[in-house]
Amino acid sequence: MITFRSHRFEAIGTYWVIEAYEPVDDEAWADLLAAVAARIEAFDQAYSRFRPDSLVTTMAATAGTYQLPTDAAALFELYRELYEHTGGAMTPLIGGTLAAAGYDANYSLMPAAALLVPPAWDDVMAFAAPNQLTLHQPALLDVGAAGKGYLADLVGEVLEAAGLTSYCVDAGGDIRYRLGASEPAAAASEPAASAAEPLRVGLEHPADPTQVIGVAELSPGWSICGSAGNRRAWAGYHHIVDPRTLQSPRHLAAVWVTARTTLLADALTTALFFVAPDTLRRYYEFEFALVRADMALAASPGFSAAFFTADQS
Amino acid sequence: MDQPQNQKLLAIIGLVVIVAAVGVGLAVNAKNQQTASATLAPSAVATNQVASTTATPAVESANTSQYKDGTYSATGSYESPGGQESIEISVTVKNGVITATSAQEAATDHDSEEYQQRFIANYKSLVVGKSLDSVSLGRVSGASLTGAGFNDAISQIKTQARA
Repeated sequence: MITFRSHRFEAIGTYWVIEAYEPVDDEAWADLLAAVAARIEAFDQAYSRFRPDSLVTTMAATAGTYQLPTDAAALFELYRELYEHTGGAMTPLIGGTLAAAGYDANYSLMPAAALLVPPAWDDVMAFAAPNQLTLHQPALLDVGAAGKGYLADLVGEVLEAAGLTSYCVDAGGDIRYRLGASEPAAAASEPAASAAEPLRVGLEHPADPTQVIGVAELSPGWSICGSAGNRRAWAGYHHIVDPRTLQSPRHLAAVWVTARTTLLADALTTALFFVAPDTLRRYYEFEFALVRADMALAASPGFSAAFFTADQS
Repeated sequence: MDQPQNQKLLAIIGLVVIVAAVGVGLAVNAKNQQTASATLAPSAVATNQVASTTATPAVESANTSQYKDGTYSATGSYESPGGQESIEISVTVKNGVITATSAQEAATDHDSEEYQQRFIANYKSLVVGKSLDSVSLGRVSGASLTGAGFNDAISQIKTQARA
């Protein structure tokens, strides 16, 4: 496809790239970018635990019943499912634990002497409606395991609402790719049926951002997300802490997931740090690639990618 | 969290801090040292990276000439109900930058270990990196979400540690 428009900016602590694969006139493009910025700001205002003025920060101080934005429904429904499927390991109640590990609003990166086990979901949270949440006690929620991918979807919806159907939203490596309003390919790996070109996505080396360990071919209608444990590492922790061990998982160097939404792809990259892929494939349609700490690779057959391996030098 | 686990965690954190500090020329953060003692010896031997690679390329030394390339390791001990236990942490320094750390202790993370064992047959060839410049790409996906805030925090820690 031809890239007619490309815009790069920084938001929520990462880089973003929006590309349009169809013509957009100047005024429409400016309006689109403004709408995208407003959408990101609204999301951040609700869910950032790094902002003193966010809804999440308010909830960390005061118990009670909160009306969440309408976008909360899909987010917390998936969180609840994955909470069940991972035996409680993946939980938005990890916020306090992450903050204590040093991943806090001030990025102190100074771990407390002891981390606290996050409370059980039902002891703290009750949904009277999909976006009406009652907190029985104050709780620091963290939706970081799925929030960035979800925001890529929400930004995509903004573009689609304005009539743009061929585009890519790249939220710091969490990528939503669409080509036209046609039905998505039947599988992430399916060869292009028509003129639907796959997007070539480099899979970043977990220890070296100047290198890639392979190239995935992302079909239109699909999203890809990646997670690695070692780029944002400090004092023995990284951005994922297993509530069962209060340690950051070390067995995987990197995980990539392709799925039909960036929300699902992002959430599953974290879930795969806690449970085996087969467990999750009973419930969700996705493809994956896992790179173990020793750089050994495991990928599902449908994960369409060329990997660079040691034996081919 | 029970006490032995707590102590173990302290020992690990303490060791990582100590090794990292010496490895990149930082002053040692004294807070977590009481449960861990470390002796440092440069070693040319390749470290055994048992499922615990935590490369921290974000931590760079401002003083690249002070430390020679090599692998530095430290052993620390702590009390557990089963008696004295020890862990070994290694840090690999190249051009003044920590390129890898490893902790032998990580295998006691039972959940991860069980997961690994169960899934081990599915892992095949080892992947290697190719330079970004040599590959034609539309986009890149990975861990490069590292924002300015995180990098800034790392700089601040280095500044504080030097003070």
